[in-house]
Amino acid sequence: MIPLEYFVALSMVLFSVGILGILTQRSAVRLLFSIELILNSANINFVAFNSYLRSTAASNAAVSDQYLGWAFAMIVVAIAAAEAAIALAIFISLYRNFGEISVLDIFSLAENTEVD
Amino acid sequence: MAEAPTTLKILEAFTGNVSVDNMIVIAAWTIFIPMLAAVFLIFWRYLEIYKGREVNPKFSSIIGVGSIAISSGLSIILAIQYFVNFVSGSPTYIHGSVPFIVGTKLTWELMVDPLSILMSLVLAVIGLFIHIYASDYMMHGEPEITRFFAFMNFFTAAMWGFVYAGNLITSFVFWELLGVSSYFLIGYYWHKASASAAGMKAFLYNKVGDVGFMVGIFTVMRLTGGDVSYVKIMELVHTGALSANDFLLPSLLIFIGAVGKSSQFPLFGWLPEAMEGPTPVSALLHSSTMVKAGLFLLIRNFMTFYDVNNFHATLPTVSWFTGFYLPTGTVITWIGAITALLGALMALTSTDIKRILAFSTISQLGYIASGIGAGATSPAFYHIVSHATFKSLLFLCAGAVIHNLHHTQDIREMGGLFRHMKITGITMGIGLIALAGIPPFSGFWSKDSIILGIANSNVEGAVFLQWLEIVTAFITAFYSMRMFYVVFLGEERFDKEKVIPRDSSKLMAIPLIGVASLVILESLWFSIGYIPGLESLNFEKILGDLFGVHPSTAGEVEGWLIGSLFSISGALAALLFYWKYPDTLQAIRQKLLWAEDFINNRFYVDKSIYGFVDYVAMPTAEALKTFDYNVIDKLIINDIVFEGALMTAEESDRFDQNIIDGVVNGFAALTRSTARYGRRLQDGIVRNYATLMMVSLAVFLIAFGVSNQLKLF
Amino acid sequence: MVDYLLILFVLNAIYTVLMGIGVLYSRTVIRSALFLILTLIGVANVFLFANSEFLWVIQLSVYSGGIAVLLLFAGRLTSYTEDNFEFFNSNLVMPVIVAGVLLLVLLGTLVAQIPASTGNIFTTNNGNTLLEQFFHNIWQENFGLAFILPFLSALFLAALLGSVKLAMSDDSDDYEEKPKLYPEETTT
Repeated sequence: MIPLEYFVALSMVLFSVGILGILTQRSAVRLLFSIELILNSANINFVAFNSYLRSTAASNAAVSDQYLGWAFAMIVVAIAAAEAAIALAIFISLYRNFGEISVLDIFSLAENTEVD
Repeated sequence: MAEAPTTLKILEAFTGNVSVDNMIVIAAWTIFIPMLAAVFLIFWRYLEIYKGREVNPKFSSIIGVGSIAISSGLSIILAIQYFVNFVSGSPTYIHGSVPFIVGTKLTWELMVDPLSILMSLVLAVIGLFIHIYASDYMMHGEPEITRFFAFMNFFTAAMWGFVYAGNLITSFVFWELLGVSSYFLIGYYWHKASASAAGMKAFLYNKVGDVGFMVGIFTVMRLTGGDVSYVKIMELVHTGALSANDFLLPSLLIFIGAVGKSSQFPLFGWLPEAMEGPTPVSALLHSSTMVKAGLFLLIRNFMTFYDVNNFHATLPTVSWFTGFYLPTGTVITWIGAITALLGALMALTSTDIKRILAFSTISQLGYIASGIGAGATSPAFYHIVSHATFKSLLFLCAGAVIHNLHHTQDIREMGGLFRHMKITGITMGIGLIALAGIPPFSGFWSKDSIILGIANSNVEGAVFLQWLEIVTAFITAFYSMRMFYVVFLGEERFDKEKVIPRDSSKLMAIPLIGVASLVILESLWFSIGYIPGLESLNFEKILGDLFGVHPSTAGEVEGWLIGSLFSISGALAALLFYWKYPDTLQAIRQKLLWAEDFINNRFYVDKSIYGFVDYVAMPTAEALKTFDYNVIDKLIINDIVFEGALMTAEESDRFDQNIIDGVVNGFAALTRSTARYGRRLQDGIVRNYATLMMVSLAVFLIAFGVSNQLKLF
Repeated sequence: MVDYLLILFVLNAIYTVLMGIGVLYSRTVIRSALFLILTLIGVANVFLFANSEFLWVIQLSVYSGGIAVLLLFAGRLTSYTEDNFEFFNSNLVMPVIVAGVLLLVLLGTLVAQIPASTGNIFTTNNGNTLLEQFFHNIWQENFGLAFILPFLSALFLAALLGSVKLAMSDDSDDYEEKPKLYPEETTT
């Protein structure tokens, strides 16, 4: 039996890697990849805790509750898929409007600092 | 008023079917009609001023006289109905009121009782005659007839209101209206400095009395708890809730009001000056309205305060005055007697025909006041009636004389007028005989009953006062006959080139003859009453029945004898001296020049008042003004309050600017700088946002973990 | 006694993390996507270690199969020129510090064995934590897993419709004025 802490530690490391990616990457596509990493780290937590609880504490719970973590993992997968589809559309739209998708160069949300 | 006045009720009055409420309505209309006419005439006068000329003097005089005629008729109808009801046993005191200010005890209240009915009758007859007379007198070259009749009507209406007033507040309102309208009338020739000064003087002298009256009302209010209705006060006195001693101060204060209005001893100075007005004004002022208002007030209030047994009495009971009334009564009687003597002396030395009459008015008012003070209410009213008649007659005659002599008032420039102006001479002779108290004329009976009342009362020094008044009666007879002789008999001293004396026109003669015949009728009636077996016609007895006052008749016959002796001897002495021994008279006069000087200066009473004002009141006012200006204004207000307020304001301004504004500005500056640097974070670069998010996540995790570890929550 | 399963897990974890780092620091987007697929396979293996075979299959087929291909497609369509990523050229100091601190904090919480949100302020009236109460409310027993399928269907449908709308040309009338999709014409 693999201790729960190992799963959590792996999840944390993977999460940090994803964060590092978000902070360093210039391309929107790579940002999306980093987000996928973070989602996966969250998934690991879900699944690990679900498995841990199923095997120990909540064994007498209802079946649907026993697989609650799976449900969340599946939701995450579905969200990732939807996100990928939307992101693809956004990227194409961005590319069409700006000619690139580097997040460092697209800052139209920024305030016009010349005013100050 | 219990119900709204309607014309229907007036019509009911003519059919003789007068209910108790309708009596009050009629009384109200009696006041309203001349008042409305006055208001109308004032607006008519505005119209004339706007047009720049008098529209139609005839119209104004018709309005003025007509309204008084209507009101006189109404009051006569009211009197007839009242007496019919009175005999059949209806309530003595009929009163009705409307709220003056809602929520307080102040009301407009009218009351109909024997006193007001009789006074209103006197006013109706005399006032109507004087108005008719004035409508002719003023036609001949007098300016602004409209204004004259407006204020005459106003004046008469105010007097009617005062007579019918049912509580002290209503009385006071009409009292003040009387005062202000008398000011307008006396100062009618306002372009003459003396006339406007006379009006001012009358107004100010009256104001002294008004203050007393007002304070008296307040003291009565304190006694009765705010309700100053006469009937209410009578009720309280009747039930014993208030004793006569409670009314010592109120009655003295109200007497001060009467002193001002009726020109008693210290404040008689305004009445001779009031002759500056037109002669009809003088007649009205002196006979039935202005000066009688004060006496009427005295009778009204003292009947209210002291006639315990009179309340609701259908059958009168004896209430001769006893000791509880004494302090006030003594004061009033003494002041009245002194006024009578001083007035008679002043009339004796005066040479102005109207001033003689004015001084004689003062003297007769003194008689009446002393009668009231002695408790002889019915003799006092008796004299009010007879004096109102003959004094108005005298003024009308004097007006006729002055009118025909082109406004000369000095009797030394007259004389021998009798053969030119027979009607005027005869009527004036009747009036003067009545004034002199020659039996059996009206003045004799009424004056004698007053003297008798004083003699039989228990005021302090009653015997002295009785003889003082008898001596005054002698002087009265003397100056009356002196006036008659100097004006109508003897040599003709007027300017024969300018003046052609003749009798008055018909319109002026009718009132003269009318009032003169009224005097004669009065005299007849009064005399008949004293014939044994005809006591039921005795006017004094009738008055006593109505007022519930029955003076003792002890010593009546002796009084008549002494009185007639003194008055006849006075009259004869005057005629004799002026006709046969003018040199002796001059010799006596030369020896008594100092006395004449003293009298002509009006006993220095006016001068004392002026001196008081000049040397006491004004310096005090100046000193107070200086004190106010230097100490209160400068020191306290300017230096302490103002400077202190300024300093406080400056300090608080500094505090405001530095601390409060500073805090606000500081916050604003903080916000601005925060925004200036914080906006740089919003650079639109997603990575930087993510960095911040992660940093804050780390911070939260650390804080959360540390707090969990330390069990902070 | 050596726990081989644990050794395998650690090895797999190291592999997964390395692949994840590879996602970040590969030269081209295509390689990055490939590294992502490998990472996802590693995560799928972690699910296998957690006795979740069904999710293992789902992860492999749907995620590393379907979604990753979609992502690859996205990168392929847009990141034509971004093939010259230099790890040490970019400003790395701040991101590395942040990520490192975050990792240290996370591991610190693990090492300190701080229980997850059991503080009083998260407890509701009936003794549950807020999160528990939330799930208790929305995730009733009779809903169960059956609730997920309609929800996911709706989610997918919305996502597809939204992406189609986004990817569509805004206005068909002025088609010529739009920037071209071809990279050689857009780069200057």
